This record gives sequence, C-alpha cells and structure tokens, in this order.
Amino acid sequence: MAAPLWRTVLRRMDRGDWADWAVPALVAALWATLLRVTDPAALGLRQTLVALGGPTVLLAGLHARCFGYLHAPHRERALVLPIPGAEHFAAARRQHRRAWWRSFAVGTVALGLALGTDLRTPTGLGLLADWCVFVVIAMGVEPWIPAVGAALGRRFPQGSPITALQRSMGGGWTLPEAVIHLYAPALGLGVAMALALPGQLAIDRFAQGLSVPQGLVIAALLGVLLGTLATPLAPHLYARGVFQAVPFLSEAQKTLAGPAVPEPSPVWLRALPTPGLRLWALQFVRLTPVPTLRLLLLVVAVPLAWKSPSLPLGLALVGAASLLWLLPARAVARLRPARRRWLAALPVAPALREGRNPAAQALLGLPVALALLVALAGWIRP
Amino acid sequence: MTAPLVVSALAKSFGRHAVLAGIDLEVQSGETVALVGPNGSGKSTLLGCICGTVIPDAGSIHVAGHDLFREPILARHGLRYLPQEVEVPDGLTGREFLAFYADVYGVPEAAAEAEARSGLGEAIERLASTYSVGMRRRLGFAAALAGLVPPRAAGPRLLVLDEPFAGVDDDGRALMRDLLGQARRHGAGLLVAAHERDLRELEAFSPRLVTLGQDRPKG
Repeated sequence: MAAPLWRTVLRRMDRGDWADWAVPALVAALWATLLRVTDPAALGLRQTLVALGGPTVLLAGLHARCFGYLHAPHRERALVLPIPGAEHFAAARRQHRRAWWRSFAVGTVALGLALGTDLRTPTGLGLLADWCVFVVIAMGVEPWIPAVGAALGRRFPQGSPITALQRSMGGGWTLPEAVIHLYAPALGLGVAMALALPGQLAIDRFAQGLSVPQGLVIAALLGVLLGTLATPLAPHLYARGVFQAVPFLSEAQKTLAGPAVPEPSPVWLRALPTPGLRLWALQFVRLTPVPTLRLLLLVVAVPLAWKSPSLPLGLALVGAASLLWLLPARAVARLRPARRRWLAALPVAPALREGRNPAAQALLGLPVALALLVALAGWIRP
Repeated sequence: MTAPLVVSALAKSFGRHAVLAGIDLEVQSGETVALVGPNGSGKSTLLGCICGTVIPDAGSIHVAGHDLFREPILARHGLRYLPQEVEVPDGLTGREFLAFYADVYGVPEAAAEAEARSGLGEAIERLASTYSVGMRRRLGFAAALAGLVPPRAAGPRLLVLDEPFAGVDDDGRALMRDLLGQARRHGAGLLVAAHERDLRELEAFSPRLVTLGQDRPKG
C-alpha cells in the first residue's frame, strides 16, 4: 500500500545540509593529518588518537544530523497538524541515517588516507575496526539524544525531582525545560564512547596478538548490543515529549537570541564598489554561520597542507576547508528568486536584476583560488 | 514636457490566455491614475510590465522618456514601485534596506529622511524580515519615496503603487496620503492599482480611472 501523502510530504521536509558532512570532513582531514605525522611505532598514541578523534568527527556533525528532530523550524510548523510524534521521529530519522552514512564515509576515507599502507598490517586494520565499532554504536545511541531531549524537555509538576534538576542545571540563563538540550548531545556521544571502549580494547589486543580476556569479550558484546538493540525504543520516548519540547526549545532559542537587532555591518563593506556587491556581502556575513572563522580555517589549512607528508591528504585538507567556506553561501544563492523579484524594478545592472552577481561569486572564490595556488606551490617545490 | 509614463499597444498573453491586449496609457506629471478592475483583469500584469518584472509580447513602455527595454537603467531611475507584497531581503535591517535603496537611486543623503518618514522608530534597527505586513509596507513606501519627496534630481518621476493601503493601519494611511500628496505636488505621476477601498483613500487626488478587463466574462 502506498504511503499517505502527508507522510511523504513530512519526510521531504527533512533534507540534508552541508553542515552534516562538510564540517565532519574538515575535522576528519585534520584528524588524518595528525595521525599521519605520528610515528607508526607509537601504537598506543595512534589508538588514543582513533579513540578520541572518531567521536570528534561525529560530534562535528551531530547538531546538523539531529537538527530535524527538535530544532528544525519545519518541525515546529508541522506540530499544529494531527500527526503522531513517532511519525515526526521517523521523518527526521531518515535524514539522520543518511547524514550518519556521510560522516561514516568521510571518517573512513580520512582514516584510510592517514594509515595508507599500514592498513595491510593487523594493527592498521585494528585501528580501522576501532573506528567502525564506535560509529556503529554511535548510530544506535544518537537517536536517544533527541528522544531524551523530548522526554525531559517538558514541564513537570512543581516539586518533581526533574523540575529541580532542570532548574539547577540551567543556572537560570535559559528556560529550565530547554536545559536538557545543552547536555544531551555530549552525554549521548559520551555513552557511545563508553559502550565502544571494551570492544576497541578487545580489538586492539587481538590485533597485537595478545590474549583477549573473556570478561572483555562479554563487555564488548554487551556494549554493542546495548548500543544497537535499544534504539527502537527511542521513538516512543520522543513521542511522549515532542509536542511540548519543540515549543519550549523554540522559545528558549528566541529568548537567547534576544531582539532581532543584528551586529553592525562590518566597516570593510563600505570599501566595496557597488551597492549590489555591498548587499550580497552583507547578506553573506549575516546569513552564513561564522564567516570569519571559516575563512580563518581556510587560511590555517594552507600551511598544514603545505607541510602534509601526503599529497591526497593535503588536497583533502584544503578541499574540505574550501567547501566549508563556499557551501554556506548557498543560503545567499537560494535567495536569488526573491532578489530577482525585488531588484527587477531598480536601476541596477542587468545581471543583478536577474538575481545573479558575478562580482560576488569572484569575491567568494578568491580565497579558495589563492589557497589552492599556495598549496600547489608547496607540493611542487623542489 | 516628457510624461512620466507612456504605454503604447501593450500586449501580454500567458499561453493562450490574453491578459493584456492593445493597452495604451499615459500618466502626466502631477496626475493620479487609478487602475481598477476585477481580480484577474490584468492590473498586476500591467504593473509588472511597467516595472520590468513581466516582459510583454508587444508594445512599448517609456518611463520618464526612456524606453524601458532599450535604456533599462535610465528608465528605472525615473520609476519607483511599491509592490503589493513588499519583499524584504533576508539579513538586512530596516535601516540598511533604506540605505540600499537610496544608494541605488544615487541619493545616499536621502536615506536618513526616508528612515524618519517610515515612522518605524527603533524597529528600524531590527532585521526587516521580522516586520509585520504593515511595517513592511511602511518600509517599502519610505524606500519608494527616497529622493522623490523632496525631489533630489530633475526630470519626470513615476510612482507605481499596487494596492498601497492594504494591511496598513489608520495612522499609516494618513501618512501615506500626505506623502502621496507631496509627491504629486512635486510633479510625480502616480499610477495606482486600486480596489474600492483604495479609491476612497485617493479621492482627494481626483484620480482618473482606467478600467481593465471590462470586455471579459466574469465568474
């Protein structure tokens, strides 16, 4: 039987975003560079880097992966409809699963580039298996983050221990009901790390040809089973709280954001030659997240790529930083139809009236071109 | 003296449906022309053609003596447009929106008076995307009049308004009437797509009525 139309529409609302793979890609490239420069003989250090770097890669895209469950504006809008909470969960879960595969892919490629020929050795394969065990468990645990967020992001009766906990952990600077969302993501990944640890230890001992104690094997199996088999319960927990948790979270975000008075426009904008370019640059600064930090990351990636012992790894580093700089600009590009409607009657250049802005595109591409040129110069140096 | 608007033999069809056929229209300096007609009669299409957002199939449009398609920039310098739904770009405050308009029309010094004219008070510092419909209209109106009242440049000017009073409170309407009167006294031609309610607001300007879609079946 075909799915009802509303379910199809609901699921279409949850779409992927650059942040769920581009940010993990950059973190993964940095992680791989770090792994690559460590001495292959320092196995303990490499194992620690994998145990800590894996969660960092997943953490980098966690908010974007789980955005659809509670944070997305379309979720709030759809809550006025008589749709069961579990359906909202299922819609967000589809996108979550896709994003998880993307993070898994970029992490695995990065690890492959870092380990190179070491992958032919048991210890190299052991490091890859460490990453895989953690990621599989994390995929099972991550749906609990919005589920617990929804269940505990509600208002409980006065005098309830949960109410007291919400108040004490919030410190008074956000809504007590929204406090759980500050802790749940890190807690979730922490649980995934703890559950994966016995399995990783068992794999490492096995890869080094050491005996694996029976207790460790049981703990490893328990970790994997707990991490993956309990996942089907998460939608039920989510459904109990989603209709309260989403409005509370939205209210908390608005309160934290304060009135809609943005930062003053940067002084350098005045140096741009045309009103159209100034308009585009202002929208880019206001509508894309942390533009200065993204540019800084691109600048930092260049010397790292220059020093990189591996050409593909250097390329991955500059590529990931470039994508992180460029991709958010899609938020401005998406406004093209609106810009076209708005500017059509104004005395501006024809390209601008059509919503295009070639000068802005050149300005956006300039740092990427420079970064690639400098990195290339580093690779072809004698 | 050059008329702010001269439209000759204008035609526009969407597929087989002819929305405008052989439209001739002139708006003189200081004159108010009210376009009336039932929904779907082509008022918005005609305004779209005049403002360059809809490309006609035939005919010519001259704004302030300049052909809209051969001299697009010069023609647009003589044209101010307040659409029915004021589009405010994401990421800009009300103040930045007005500054952009004033800048584009080459009258950056008019931004401050446009700001005062909008009557938005402290809200002018907020992101314009957070404004209510009425506030957006006030902002759009102030932007359209930037450098027009008082006039900062010589030459004829055309002010095109699509149902300008919709969604505006009583104070806003009074302010808009006053400003439209000033624009007219300064020689601007007004072309207004209007419903009955708008006609009452325009009574003081003795508008010339142009009715569209009379020969088309209703219903």
